[in-house]
Amino acid sequence: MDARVDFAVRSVLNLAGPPLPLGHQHWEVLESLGRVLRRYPAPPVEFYGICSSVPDVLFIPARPTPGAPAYCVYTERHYCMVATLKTLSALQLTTEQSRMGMAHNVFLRLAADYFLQQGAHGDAARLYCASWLSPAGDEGLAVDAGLFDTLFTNPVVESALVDGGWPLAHELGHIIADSDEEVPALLADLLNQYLRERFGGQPPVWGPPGARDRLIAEVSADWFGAELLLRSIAGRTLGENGLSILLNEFAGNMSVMMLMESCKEMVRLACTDPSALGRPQKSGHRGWMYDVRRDMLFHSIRLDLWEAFPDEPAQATFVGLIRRAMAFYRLNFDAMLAGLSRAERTLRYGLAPPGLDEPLLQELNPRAADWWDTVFRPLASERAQQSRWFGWATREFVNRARATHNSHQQSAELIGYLDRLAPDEVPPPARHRLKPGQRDWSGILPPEYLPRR
Amino acid sequence: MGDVEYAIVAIDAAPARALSAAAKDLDGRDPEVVKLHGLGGSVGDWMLVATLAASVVSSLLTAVYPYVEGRRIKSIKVGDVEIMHPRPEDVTKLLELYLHRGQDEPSTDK
Repeated sequence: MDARVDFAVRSVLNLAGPPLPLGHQHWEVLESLGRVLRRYPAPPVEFYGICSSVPDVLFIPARPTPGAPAYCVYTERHYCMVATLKTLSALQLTTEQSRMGMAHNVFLRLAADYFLQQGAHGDAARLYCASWLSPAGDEGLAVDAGLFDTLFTNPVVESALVDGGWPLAHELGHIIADSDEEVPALLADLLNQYLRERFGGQPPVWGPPGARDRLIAEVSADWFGAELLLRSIAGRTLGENGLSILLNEFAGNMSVMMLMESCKEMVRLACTDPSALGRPQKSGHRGWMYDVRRDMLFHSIRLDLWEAFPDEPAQATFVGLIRRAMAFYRLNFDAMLAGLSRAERTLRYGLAPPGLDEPLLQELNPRAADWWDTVFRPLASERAQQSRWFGWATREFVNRARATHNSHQQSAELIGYLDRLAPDEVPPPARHRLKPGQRDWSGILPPEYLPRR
Repeated sequence: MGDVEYAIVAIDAAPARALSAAAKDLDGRDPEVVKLHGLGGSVGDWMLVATLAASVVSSLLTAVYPYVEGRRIKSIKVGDVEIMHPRPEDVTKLLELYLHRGQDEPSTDK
């Protein structure tokens, strides 16, 4: 990895050191992808892996030098967060409020990561601390501490092919799509047709400039990524059960990605134009774009299968499997979206409990932010005793904060406090790992939260 | 006077494009502008990479300044100096360094 790319990666992912070449022995899917890539005459992409950073997968296009590979950097934290959100999507919680509350705290933790990425340490620390508190003002500090710990500490379940391979196959898809002008043009036509039908002939609200081009690029990458994944991992030997899992994961990944990107946009807005965040407005999510991506992805898989199994019963089965995959993640999706909106409200106005109803963001009220820091401290030590993993998660958060060189003139005193509170050395929690294709949360979640079959 | 390598990571396309135009105006060379994709595709960072004559680096830093004030620059690397999450005062210091160099001595950066 050359110095410029190393610099870019550190800038974007908030890394203390350079990323490492891919050597993650725990991901069979990655090994399989690696074998496929070695068949290319010149490697089109080089993969690098890191343990902790912002939960994102980063891709840097190839250098102009002929034959130079593009770089793709993946973080284990991305997989953890995706698995956390997917598990939350499928949980059977008792009330709407508890689903929303759990999602609220997950999104605060995610937003804290994104604030760290932007260099806003004070805001990141307050959000991190607030993610351990109940948003509803209960006496207890956490929203079901046991479940919340479980979600964050045992989420890496290679529950399907897609969990490990999809993000990387998608990024590789960008490379292939960039080298083939015809396919993006074809997809642009398909997309126009789809949008006309979806929006009744009216053009959709695209948002920022370039959004349409980005969507076409992403759809192209999805298309090639799915193709690659099907060929390299499952091929055309997928049975009905395997296909069901595959579609389930694609459907879930699109929902989860939309939620994560909306959270990221919310933080970006808070860092670049905090006064806009102070005004009442809808959060930045544009879910329809992810619906488009999911539908186009299903369409591409369907075309692929049509070639292999051109009979009608197989097609009918496929339609049924898609319907089931959609229903699986629809269960909690609205509650998770409400949790994200509630997290945005928490940034602006603070938490509901009396005494904590002040903005968390320094930009909105610097004095309130300092005051909030003080209020949290007695709660933090109590939380540290309640949660098995508070120390580990806090040490990991503090280390990432310390890795950043500079900040937006925010007080990082709270990070210093967390640094003193968390033990210096905390062993990482043991993570459950399932076989590819296996979906079994019984060893991970308390029985009352297991999805209905 | 030698050339200096620089790299700037911006949080969206607008500053990257404006700074690319500014850099080209300074010495006629087009910088490489690279989009850094995140997985979701809706938000991405942009990196500007090139070399520039040391005598005009201060002009580029002057162009960068308002974007740093607006928090649209994630990091700057000029020669051996690398600043993550730069503040306006960081850019001012860097600017002073290059103004001083431009007046007194040829650059040895490469």
